[in-house]
Amino acid sequence: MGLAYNTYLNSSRIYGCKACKSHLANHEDIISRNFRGQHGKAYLFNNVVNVEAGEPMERNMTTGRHVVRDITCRVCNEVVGWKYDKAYESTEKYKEGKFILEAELLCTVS
Amino acid sequence: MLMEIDKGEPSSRDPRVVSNGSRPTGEHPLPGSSKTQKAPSETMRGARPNGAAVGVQQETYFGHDREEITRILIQALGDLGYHAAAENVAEESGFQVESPDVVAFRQAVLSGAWSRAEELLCGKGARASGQGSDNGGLVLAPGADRNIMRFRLRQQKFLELLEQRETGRALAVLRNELTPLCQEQHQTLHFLSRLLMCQDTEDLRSKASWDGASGRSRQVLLAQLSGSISPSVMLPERRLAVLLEDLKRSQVDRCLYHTSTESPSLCVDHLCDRSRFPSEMLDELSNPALESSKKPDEVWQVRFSPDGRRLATCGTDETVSIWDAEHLALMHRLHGHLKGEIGNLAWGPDSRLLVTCGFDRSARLWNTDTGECLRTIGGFEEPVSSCVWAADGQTFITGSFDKKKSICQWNMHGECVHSWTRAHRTEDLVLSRDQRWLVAMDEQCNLHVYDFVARKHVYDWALNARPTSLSISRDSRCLLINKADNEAVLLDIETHETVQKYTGQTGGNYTIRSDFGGANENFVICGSEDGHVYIWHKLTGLLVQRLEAHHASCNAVAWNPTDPCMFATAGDDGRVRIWSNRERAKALAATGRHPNGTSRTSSNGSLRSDPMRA
Repeated sequence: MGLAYNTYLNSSRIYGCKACKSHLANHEDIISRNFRGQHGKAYLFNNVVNVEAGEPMERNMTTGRHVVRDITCRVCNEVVGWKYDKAYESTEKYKEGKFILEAELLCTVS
Repeated sequence: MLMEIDKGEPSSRDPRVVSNGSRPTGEHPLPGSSKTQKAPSETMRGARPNGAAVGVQQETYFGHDREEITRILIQALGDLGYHAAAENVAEESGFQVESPDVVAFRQAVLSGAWSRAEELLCGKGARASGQGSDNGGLVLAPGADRNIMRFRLRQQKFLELLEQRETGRALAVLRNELTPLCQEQHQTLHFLSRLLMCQDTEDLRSKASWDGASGRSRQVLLAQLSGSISPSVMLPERRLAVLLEDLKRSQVDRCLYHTSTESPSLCVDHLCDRSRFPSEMLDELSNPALESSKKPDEVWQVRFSPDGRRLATCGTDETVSIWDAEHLALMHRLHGHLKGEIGNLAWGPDSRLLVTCGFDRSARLWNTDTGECLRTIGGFEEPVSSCVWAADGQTFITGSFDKKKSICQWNMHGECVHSWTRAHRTEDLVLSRDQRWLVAMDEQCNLHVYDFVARKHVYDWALNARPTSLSISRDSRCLLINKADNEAVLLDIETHETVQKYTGQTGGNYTIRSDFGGANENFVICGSEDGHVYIWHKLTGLLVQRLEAHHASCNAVAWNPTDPCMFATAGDDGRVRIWSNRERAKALAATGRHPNGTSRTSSNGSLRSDPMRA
């Protein structure tokens, strides 16, 4: 793939990759803060940028079975969270297509 | 005398236009009176296609007004130095380049007889309107203002008096002659009165940007005034040369495969041969990494040096390669950028220095003769995206995604001499050749235009799609913007008009670059994500050539600035290819060199037989 620069966000509070400070998501795009990942607190975002998604895999989570993909920062290739492809329970369907970013792997870029 | 004879001819003369100077049938030579004329009238009668009357019928020269053509020819003969011939033609035809009033006016201005000049300009009665060349002064061109012309004459008089240190008389001129003429332009009057304070003539000359009565100022004044005088009494200077230049330019502009750099001949309509247009791969610059089986390093930018002798490429492999463009051989590989790809580079005007822009958030200055890194400029918090050099080669300007250091100007010591940063990020940057316009493109859909000399922001311009690269034409008037919606657009910088659009390429995901190129900058060349290189004719937008350049996306293209038959392309397949025409390819093969790359015989270099309308 060719030359592509990072996407830059425009908001008063932006979360970025802890390692390389690439912009990942706007604070306004948080849907819920009630999530937990492998490293502790995690947030559900409507949209994130500058990430690459890996292969889909099925995981059993506290809320049920889901198909998720790990997402990595496109610049430094560090894992920053995951993306929900499919949720098997109907109550969890709202997560489909949304992203989880782990708070431990983020920093604030303003 | 000639005119009388002409008027005496039978009015039943047939005014049909005939070619080759042959007379229409039924005409006979004039009765005996013509024999008393000098020989020129008879040869003239034979030579003129219609043998026409001058005053009676308005015969045309193949559709053009006879009087205009003859006057232009007389002026041209005079300019060429053939004064006797010019006089002869003037006598024979009865036309004159300038009316006697204008001749007298010209002499008056050039000799400094200001009151006589004004008398001629305005006529004896000093009438305000400008009709009639005999009574009311010189006939003016439409829209010309007689008062402005009088002001200019009087201003020259004033300046010449000052030059001779006749300040008293100069003051009188200022008071009595200049002031009544300009009611509103106080600034001009103030400026002129300040000139009274000048200590000596040198000071006067430099302040007024005027080179004195003995210099060219009188000719310059005459040229200015003649622009306002009607062309029916005074032809603009060098009219034939101006017309021919215009004609040549329009022929060159229309040439679809233009590759010659010389001025076109006037004897034949200009058309370049298509076979000289670059359409075959000449060579592929070898990259040893391709031998191994790992994924090839993508090449993201390729640029010729301004003298056309060197080529620089950069991309994902974190080094910059400098190639000799004549021998197509590697000169240096520049190591030094830390981990991170190199997105862009810019040659200095001396073709020796090079600035590279890295994703490692630094810009580096290199000497391409030795391959050493002269300076590293860090301190950016985001990647450096682009660079342009000032024409004097002493400073360069970097563009970066760092909002606080978006556009910065650096000198050779790595010190920031000026910051143009204005709360936008910069993805690409161009500077016009006349050093007037500095244009920045940000990562949203906006262009920001600055006046480089005045160091001011001029305007912002919003585009309808995300732009991926910028280029500016050599005449500093047009901006080429490559956009992610599969279209490249040519914009006039001053009027913001869209001059032309070019389509056919595919893009949208990555940065694809486009550029001007070719003889007379007649072409726009662009890469594409489908691996082709597209060449359009700049003015008409016709697709002239589409070549399969790379097996993956073709990212960057560069036309050799000194060789209209050569351009280079760079792609995601890790290859850099040089393209030229068949005769060059044969010449190269004849020297025993074989082009690198195995795909010579496969589908690259394919030609389209007709220019495609995009």
